[in-house]
Order: sequence, then C-alpha cells, then structure tokens
Amino acid sequence: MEELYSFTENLTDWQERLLLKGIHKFDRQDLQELKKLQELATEYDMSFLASLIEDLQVEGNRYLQEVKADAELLTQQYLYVVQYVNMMKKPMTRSL
Amino acid sequence: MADFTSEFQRFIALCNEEYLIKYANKGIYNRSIKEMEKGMTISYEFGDDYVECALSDDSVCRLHADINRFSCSCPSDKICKHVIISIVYYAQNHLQAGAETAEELATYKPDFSWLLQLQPTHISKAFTPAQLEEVLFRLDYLEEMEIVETSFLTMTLRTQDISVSFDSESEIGKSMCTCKAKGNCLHKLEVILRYRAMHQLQDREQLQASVTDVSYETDVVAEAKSLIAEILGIGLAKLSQTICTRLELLAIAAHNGNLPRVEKDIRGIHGELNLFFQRHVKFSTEALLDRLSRVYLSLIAIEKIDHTEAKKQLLGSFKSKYHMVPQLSLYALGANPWETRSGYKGITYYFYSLSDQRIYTYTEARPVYYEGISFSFKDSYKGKVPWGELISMEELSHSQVILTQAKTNREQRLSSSEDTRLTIVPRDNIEELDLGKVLVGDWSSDWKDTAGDMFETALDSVFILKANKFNQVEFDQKTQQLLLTIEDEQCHSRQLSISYQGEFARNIRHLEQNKRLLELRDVYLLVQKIGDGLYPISIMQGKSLTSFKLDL
Repeated sequence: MEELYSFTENLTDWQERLLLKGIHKFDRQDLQELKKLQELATEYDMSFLASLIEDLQVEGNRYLQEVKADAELLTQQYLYVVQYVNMMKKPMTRSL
Repeated sequence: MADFTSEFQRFIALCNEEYLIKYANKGIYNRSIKEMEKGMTISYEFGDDYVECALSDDSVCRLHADINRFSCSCPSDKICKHVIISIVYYAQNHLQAGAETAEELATYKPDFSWLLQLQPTHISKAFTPAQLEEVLFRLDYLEEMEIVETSFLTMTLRTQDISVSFDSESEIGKSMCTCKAKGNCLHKLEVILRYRAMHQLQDREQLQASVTDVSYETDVVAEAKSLIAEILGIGLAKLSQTICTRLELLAIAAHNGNLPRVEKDIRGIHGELNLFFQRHVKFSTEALLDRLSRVYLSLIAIEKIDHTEAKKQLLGSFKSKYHMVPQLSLYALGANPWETRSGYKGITYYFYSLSDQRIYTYTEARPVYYEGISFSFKDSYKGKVPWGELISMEELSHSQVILTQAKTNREQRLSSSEDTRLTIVPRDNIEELDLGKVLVGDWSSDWKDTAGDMFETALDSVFILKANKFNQVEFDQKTQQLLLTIEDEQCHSRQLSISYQGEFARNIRHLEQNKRLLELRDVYLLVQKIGDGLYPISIMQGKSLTSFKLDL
C-alpha cells in the first residue's frame, strides 16, 4: 500500500514539475522518468495507467524528434494521465 | 345533403348528457331540459352543411355537425341553452326516424388510438418548450392517474385534482382541461405523456432533444483549448500576468457563446492563477492541474459528443430551473446553519422524500457583505415557513409534511414558491422508514462520492449513519473541533467533528460537558461530508430530532 502511495506521489510530482517548467520544455529526462513510471505501473498491475503513460511517451518522443511537431497531442495525453491519477486519488482526498 | 344529414345524425348520437355537460356545464344542461319539459317545440331545416333550428320561443340557432361550430340569435357568445335544447330535442324526436343510423350508432365506439399514434414532433409543436421542459421533469415523479373511457377519454391526475378529456377527433387543441386555461395547458401534455408511457411509448429522448438548445460558439471552445494549452506549454514559472486579462475576456466570450460551464471553469482557472501570482498560501498546484485537465478534457468532449443530453450536461446551464412537481412527502432531517467566506449566511433544512428516497433541501440565505444587511440564525429559525405560514421553520425541521405543488430543481432544492401548500402529517419513527441509499450501512470501506462523474458538479454530500453508541466526546484544542467518535453494530468506528464557531460556543460546550450523548444507544445521525471530514448536522431517534447547532 505504501509503495503504491509513493508511486502515485512520484507520478504527481513529475506532473507538477512539468506544469511549472511548461510542456514546451519536455525533454529526454522526462522520457526516462516516464519509462520508469510505466514499468512501475505494470509492476503494480495497473495496465490501463501503464498504457496511458506509454502513449504519453510515444507522443513525447514524437515531439522531441520532429522539428515542427506541435504540442497538442502531447498536451492531451499528459492531461489524460493527470485526470486518471486524480480519479484514482479521489476516494482518498477530495477538494470541494 | 343526404351525406350531411347522416353526418349530423352521427354527431347528435354522440351528444349524450356527459358530452354536453362537458362542453357547456351542468347548469345550462339542466336548465335546457327544464325548458323542454315545459313543452318547447323546434322545427329543423337542413342546409348544405348546417341545420337551422327555429325554437318556439322565437330564438333561432344554426348547428353544424361539430359541437364547436354554432350560432344563435341570443346574445351569448358561448354555448347557450338554445343550442343544447336543439341538440337534445333532435336526439329525442328525430333520431329514431333513421333506424339504420341509430343501429349503426349503437355499435359506434369512440376510438382514442390517435393519442398513441401521435408523433413526438406533433406533441412538441403543440406545446411550448417551457411546458415540455416542465412536464418532462414532472414525469419522474409518481402521479396516480385514473383513466375512464366513455364518449371521452378522461384522465384524472389524482394529486393535482385535474381532469383532461379527449374526444375521438385527433386534435390536442380540442381536448378539455378542468383548469380552464386557454390553449394547450401543462396538464394536457402531462396526461398525454403519462398515457403514452403507460402504453410503453417513450417520447422523452425525442422531446428532450427538441427543447434542448445545445448550440454554442465553436470558436470559443477552440480558443479556450488553445489558451489552456498555452498555459501548460509555457509553464507556470514563466507565465506572464497578462494571462489573467485574457482569461477574463475568454470568460465573457464563453458567456455570450452559450457556454455556462466553460465560463465558470475559465473563471475558476483565473482564480487559481491569481492565487499563484499573489503567492497565496491557498494556492495548490494539484488543484490547478486538476482544474486545467478537467476543463481541457471537457472541451474535447464537447467537440466530439453528439448525444444531446450529454452535450447539455457538458455545456451546463446558467441558472438552475425550478419545476413544479405534484406532491412531495417529506420527513424532516434537521437544519444546518452556515456562513461562507464570500459573505453569505444561511440555514439549510434537510428532508428525506419518502416516495423517491432522495434528500431535498430548503435554504434560506442572505448576502451579508453589504452594510446594513444582517442575518440572524435565531430569527430565521423562528420565522414562518414560506408555504402557507402555518408553522415556524424550527417546527418544520422537526416534523413530517406533505407539500403539494412544490417547486424543485434537478439538485432537489425546494423553492419558496407561494403556490406550494403544506400539510402536516404525524411524524413516523425514523426506525420504521425505508431510508434507501441515504442510509450508509457499510462503514468499513470508504464512502463513494455521489458525483462519480468527472464532469459532474460536486453536490453537497449528505447522508444518514446509524450509530450504536458514542464512544467518546472531546474537544480538541489544537484543531478547535469537537470530536465525536461513534460506533456501529459491527464495532466499526468513525470520527465526526463540529468546528468551533463563536456563535455556537454554548452548544459545543453543552455537548462536551453533558455526558448524555455517551448514554444514547441506536441513534441516527445526519452527516455532511466535506473533503475527508464528516460533520454531523442532527441526531434522531424515534420521532425526536435535535439539530446540533440550533436546538441545544
């Protein structure tokens, strides 16, 4: 239970860091972090979350490689993960 | 002309006592019969599509094969005794002459199947969108409907004491309602839809679609999306404060573009960002991120979705509409005083509706941010109820009542409408009520929030807990809260808290010092859930009820 909690915390921390620095500054380090998070999600049997993170990696990769790539799909995928994690947390904490 | 004669005779055969009383009234009908008994005679002369009736009292009237078309030499512009006399006299003295027709008529049975064959589009054309919306809301509430088939199909809405009669001619406009309103009234629509629903015809979706305005400004949605993407793209660290002005402008555009929910959300983002720029302690990245993602995803959903009802939910509405429902049987669950940081003060009264097993609320509140406006909990609590002024709000919060013609909205809030009538009934024991989902039985797991849907607005989460006993009552100096620990039959315990407020200091002290709570067994508690905290509103046992902040 505690491991799962720290995993969600790590994921939230990464999300909040990206909110601060901006999606346009998405970089290789983010990709590496995402890879780790995806592995952990698979390990904890959260296959849907893992697939969401994987899609986010794919978009991130595309964004880094293509010169003219816009961040729209990356943003959308990022927000899917954010909202999914929030829904996971909701039974525990909820802001009115 | 022969055709008209038989048509006329068929019409006369239809005009039995019930039919004529319905179109005229009992008084005119009885007067007409009396006049005839005095020995009145009438001669009839057939025209192309009319009959001229010369009465022995010198009045002349002209009839057609239709009850709504007539003229008379008397000054009345409504159906008069002369018309009734002409019809009844003909039926008594001339109808038997055409034996064939009489036989045919004896077997004639009116056909009301047209009511079932009506297309939803016809129904929506005959009524206004406001009527459709009101009745579609009302259909969710149970109403006893009596159906009688004679020459008419008469349907009576029991609780509203309203009858609507349809004849076999397929026109909604020709039906008659006891409310006497001109044109097509709400009751006509209500009985038609209830009748059709009884015959397994479901019109809701089509009718709902016809009244729902789901048009919106697509540009605003695209703009809102790109602005959120811009905020996320640049990142908070480098975000310029000019974004606040742009958000405000966008909120205005959303308001004008029929996007109420987007407007509210954009203002919400604006508020969060303001806190960020002010370095305010209340700012939370988590809350901002949650809001940004929810809004962005709902904008994508608005663009993609086709289903009208879902689209309406996503677009939201500017103001929650109140609709009249026939009857509500309400069991009072207590009252809760509150004050918000934005400067509102009020008391919310909670009721359990016995028929639909949901919690209804009535709130009396005032903005107190203007000078000279004050709100006293005590005065408001002792004040009269808005529905008929029979009892005080305090008494209402301890009783069981029936509200007729109550107005409520989709969040089960009751309106103070003057049309609503209140009847007090003996209060049941809470132990004997079927509390449905309002009673949370399983304490072991976490409660699920009522608004599970991501785009749904979070409602006040209020429910009832049955406690076996109170384990502990103590005041926590650190958090300034009175903590009540309760236990259920399976020995699961939960902590409830009442925050300290100067105005209720006496009540809190009373609860803390008086050990009676610890002696109570098997009580029901009305509890409000805010975030992770559980806040008790009232305590109930048998017929008695005590609201923690108002009754002690």
